[in-house]
Amino acid sequence: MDSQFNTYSSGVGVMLWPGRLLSKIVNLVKPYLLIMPAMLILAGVIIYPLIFSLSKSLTDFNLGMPGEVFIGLKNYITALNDQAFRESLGVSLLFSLCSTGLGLALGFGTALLLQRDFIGKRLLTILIILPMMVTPVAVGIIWLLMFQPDFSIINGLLGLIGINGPIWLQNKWSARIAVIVADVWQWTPFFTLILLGGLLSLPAAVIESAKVDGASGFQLLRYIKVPMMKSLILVVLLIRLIDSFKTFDSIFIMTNGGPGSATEVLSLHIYRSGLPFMNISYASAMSYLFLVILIVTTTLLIRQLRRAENV
Amino acid sequence: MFKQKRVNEINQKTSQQTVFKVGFVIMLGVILVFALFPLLWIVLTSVKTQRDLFALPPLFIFQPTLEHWHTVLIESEFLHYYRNSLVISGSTLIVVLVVATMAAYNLARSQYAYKIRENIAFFILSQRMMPPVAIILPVYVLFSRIRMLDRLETLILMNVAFNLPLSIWMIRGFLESLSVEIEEAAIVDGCSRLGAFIRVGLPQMLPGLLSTALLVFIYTINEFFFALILSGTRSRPVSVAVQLFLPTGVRGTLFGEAAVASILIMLPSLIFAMFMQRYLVTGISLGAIKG
Repeated sequence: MDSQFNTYSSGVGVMLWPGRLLSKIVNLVKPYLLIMPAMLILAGVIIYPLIFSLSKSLTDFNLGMPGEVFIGLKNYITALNDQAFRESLGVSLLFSLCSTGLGLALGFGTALLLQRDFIGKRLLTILIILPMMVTPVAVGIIWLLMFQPDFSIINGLLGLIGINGPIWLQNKWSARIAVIVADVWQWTPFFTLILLGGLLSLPAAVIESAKVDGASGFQLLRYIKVPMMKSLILVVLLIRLIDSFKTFDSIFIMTNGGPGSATEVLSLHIYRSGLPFMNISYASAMSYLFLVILIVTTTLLIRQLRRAENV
Repeated sequence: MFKQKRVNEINQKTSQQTVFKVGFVIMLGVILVFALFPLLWIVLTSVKTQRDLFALPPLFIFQPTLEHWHTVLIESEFLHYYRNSLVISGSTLIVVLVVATMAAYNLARSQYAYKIRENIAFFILSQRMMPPVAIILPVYVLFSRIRMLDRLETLILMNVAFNLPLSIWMIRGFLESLSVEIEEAAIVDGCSRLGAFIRVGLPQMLPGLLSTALLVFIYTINEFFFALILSGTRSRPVSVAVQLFLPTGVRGTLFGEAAVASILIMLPSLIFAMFMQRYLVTGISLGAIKG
């Protein structure tokens, strides 16, 4: 291409260099050509909006009112001092920690049961894993119906053993329990699946030799299996912690954050205070604070992954 | 004497084993009931008459009816929304597979610096952690400025962006597990690089691509948040349309219909999960570990 240019525009130095520049750019870009479409999509749909909202979060931009003024970090300070924001942060933490903790305990227990061989294991595994495949919206509807006050199956069953169940989704704490139960129901299979994979790939020789040395089932679990699976457990835990922190669908359907704001997790709080009131700048500031929390957790996760890969 | 003691020991051991076995079966049973009962209950709810729905104690044996199914499938516009969902998921799937395979090929095979490649890969992976709520407000503002709200293309674009990271990582993993030598041999025999990849590499990683495709399809058809905010009457997918049947407000009217709608939404993912479990498990465990 360069030489072509040379013969055509002989002596005209100015015409020379755009051609060289072009080929230089082509050479620079060429190795990345195939990855470009993906990067462009990510840049356009995720990175650009992020920059846009960062710049708006420093102003008093509001869809309802024209004009915007730069106000610095005021939105962030307001958010950090806002009682509602703090409360929803607390609700989010409570929700994520409870549902992840319960899910891990139940899922690990199930994985330990499924670890041995028995008739019908394949079918049973498929059936136990099903909740994970259910659409989150459908999870919300299922548990909304199960927790209904007037025909609730749950209160009906509790009634059979003489317990008078609360009006689940109308009381602060029972509503919180209800959304956690729904989340645990859906995500326990995830823990089961991954941890079962981990259990089955433990080196058989180590387990056997521990058995020969007379280790009991519990000792085997406590001193051999759990320590050997520590990094896998940590990874699953972090993944679920991050994902449950972002939960929106099922809670939106079940309670829409109510009663009051008892189940208003962070993403719901941002959604509820952002879109209806068109207060984009304030909501952007809150979502950036949300993002910071997630980035910290994610960095932990990725560091853990890289370490696991290098070992 | 000694023999007797040993027999006792063995007896004790076998009785311990039976206790253990019974406990094992009971625990499995409890887990199975916890996992499946809600699903069973929703199916029962969908075929109960209005009167049976409110029976106390809850009924398990009753005369089934298809009236709620009729309402949802025939009298409402549910099928129209279902079509929207399938169009969105299908298009997303195709675009994601093509774009992700290209990117993954680049990350797995290109010769440029290892360090840059790793950093790009982890940058892409980090996008998966992005909470949708953090970008939905600017996305909403931007799309409304270019008049792209309530269009199928918008939802496809969002879904593509949010499914790319995981897909790239999965496909990259499959690509790296292929042996390059066979493809190189094909190149020596006169194939172009692209031809060698399509004729030799691609068929080998078909199972991997299939599990990626499945996961993308399920994630997309389950997607709710973007659809809730960016769609309207024309482009509404089924996950959002289901809200029309929710009993919020008018208490106790549409339970049966809500049950039917929720069954219809989860049906595609559940069917896939049942019949293609092997592929799916590969996908999920890989997806989970990698991202």
